[in-house]
Amino acid sequence: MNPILQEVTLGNFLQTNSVVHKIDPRLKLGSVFVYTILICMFRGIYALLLTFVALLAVYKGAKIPLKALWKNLKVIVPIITIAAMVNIFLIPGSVVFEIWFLKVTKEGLIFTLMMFFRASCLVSGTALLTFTTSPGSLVDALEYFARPVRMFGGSPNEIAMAISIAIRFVPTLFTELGKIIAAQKSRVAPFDSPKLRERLRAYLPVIVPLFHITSKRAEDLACAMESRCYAGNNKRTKFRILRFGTLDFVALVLMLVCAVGTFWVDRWRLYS
Amino acid sequence: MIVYENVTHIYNRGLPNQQIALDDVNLRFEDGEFVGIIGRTGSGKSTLVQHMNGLLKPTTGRILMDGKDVSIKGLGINFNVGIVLQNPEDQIFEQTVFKEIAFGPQNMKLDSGEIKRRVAMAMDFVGLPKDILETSPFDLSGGQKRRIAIASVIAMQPRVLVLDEPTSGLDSAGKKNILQRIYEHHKKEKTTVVLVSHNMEEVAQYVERVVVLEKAKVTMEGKVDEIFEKPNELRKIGLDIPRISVAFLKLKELGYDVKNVHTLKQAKTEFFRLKKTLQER
Repeated sequence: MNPILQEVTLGNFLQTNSVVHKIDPRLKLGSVFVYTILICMFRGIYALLLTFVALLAVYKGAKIPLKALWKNLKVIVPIITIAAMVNIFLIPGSVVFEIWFLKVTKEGLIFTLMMFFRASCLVSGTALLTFTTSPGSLVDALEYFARPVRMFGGSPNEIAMAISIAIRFVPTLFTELGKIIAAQKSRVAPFDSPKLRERLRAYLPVIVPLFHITSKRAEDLACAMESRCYAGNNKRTKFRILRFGTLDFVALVLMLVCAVGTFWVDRWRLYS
Repeated sequence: MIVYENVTHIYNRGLPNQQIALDDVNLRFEDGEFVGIIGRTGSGKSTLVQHMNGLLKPTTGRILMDGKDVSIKGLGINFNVGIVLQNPEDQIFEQTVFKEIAFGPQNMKLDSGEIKRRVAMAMDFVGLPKDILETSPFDLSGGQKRRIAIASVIAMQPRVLVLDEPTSGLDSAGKKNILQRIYEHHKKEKTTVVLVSHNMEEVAQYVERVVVLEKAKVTMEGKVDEIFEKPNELRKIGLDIPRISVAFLKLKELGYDVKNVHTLKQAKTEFFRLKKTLQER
């Protein structure tokens, strides 16, 4: 195991034996889907704030340290900052204060704040799914939702397998990436050169080997699966059979209450 | 001289999968030494050496090179230390072997004559034929790729050369060849060499001093002979002594008057000495 960049938790499962971990993966996947749509539909800041607080409570319940969440959130900070800087000055409305020719409006401030919470909610919500659901059960859920493709002669298992492999190899690729960066750094690659052009050029020696390793790995994996007689047809039986239990029912009700509740808050207290 | 002072390194600190990779390590590498680092997989060997040029920064503690702290966060890579990481052929990216080996020296902003000289020197060092200079490194065999990767660090002429399992996956001729050349280089240029290895025969043959890592801690440290005098302690932590040492321990057990030996060369002289005394009797 190589040390560098191992600290990336994106797409990493954290086993903590909480209630949230035990919920049926189909329910979790389904609710993240609904949740994402809901987050995008919210028009006011209150519902977003409420959702964020509720989400933090679920993190607490899932025993996921907020530090792990912060590592994922950090990734979006630069994007948000750039978008905020543009929005805060460009949205017309009642002016709060002026700096030289730039006008900061109340609408701009609210919009920026909303964008911040919207993005945070999206990232933390989806991260919660991968934190609390092992890649294996996530595939089971995906397979379940992909069942309609059978009607067109497709195989849900093949789709689920492809997606799960992609998810599974994200951390591996990060580890690989870290190793290559370390190796090129040891050869004085100008990663922290003050010149942007040089810094960008320093990444070419990282990308080429990464592609090379990835394609090699894909080939090896295909061979390994082939030699174990993998076939993604619909005759496959399952080892883990998902059952919707009492816990899942309670979770479903709770989530429906939260969804309806926040939506109601949103439409009732628009912008005010 | 490189000194590790109370170096601790923790991965994923504060998360459920937190892992202590180095636990209060105190070490000293003198100039011109050939040091071996042995230990089981996951004992922290790679983490230890990656602190040497500042690739990793310690969670607590510090690393001094000639009295200067190289472990300050934000400080770049210490180029006096050249590290060949595990499976270094994964770093290859250039279109030709020449460009690949020249990558390091080029980044050091050397002039083209000097770069050419250094590439030739490094190629010679690892025993690569000159006629592959313009071929693509991706077309070469695994062993040759490994040599190119090692050459690319050699070409930077570091004062301290660190090799993290440089021979894993090579055939036995290739193994011997590379280590022999590194040993000669060490003797000639008085370069400090740090060798991370699983192969006790290699360690016995080339290394002067051994550092034993176990579960993130330095558990033993000393001259090769001293370390291999304690086979039971080594076995307890999943390591072993060279096979020739085992054979000579057995001879001793059987009542023959032999010294403990750890390399084939020592074994040969000791064996002939034993033969002579037996014949005289």
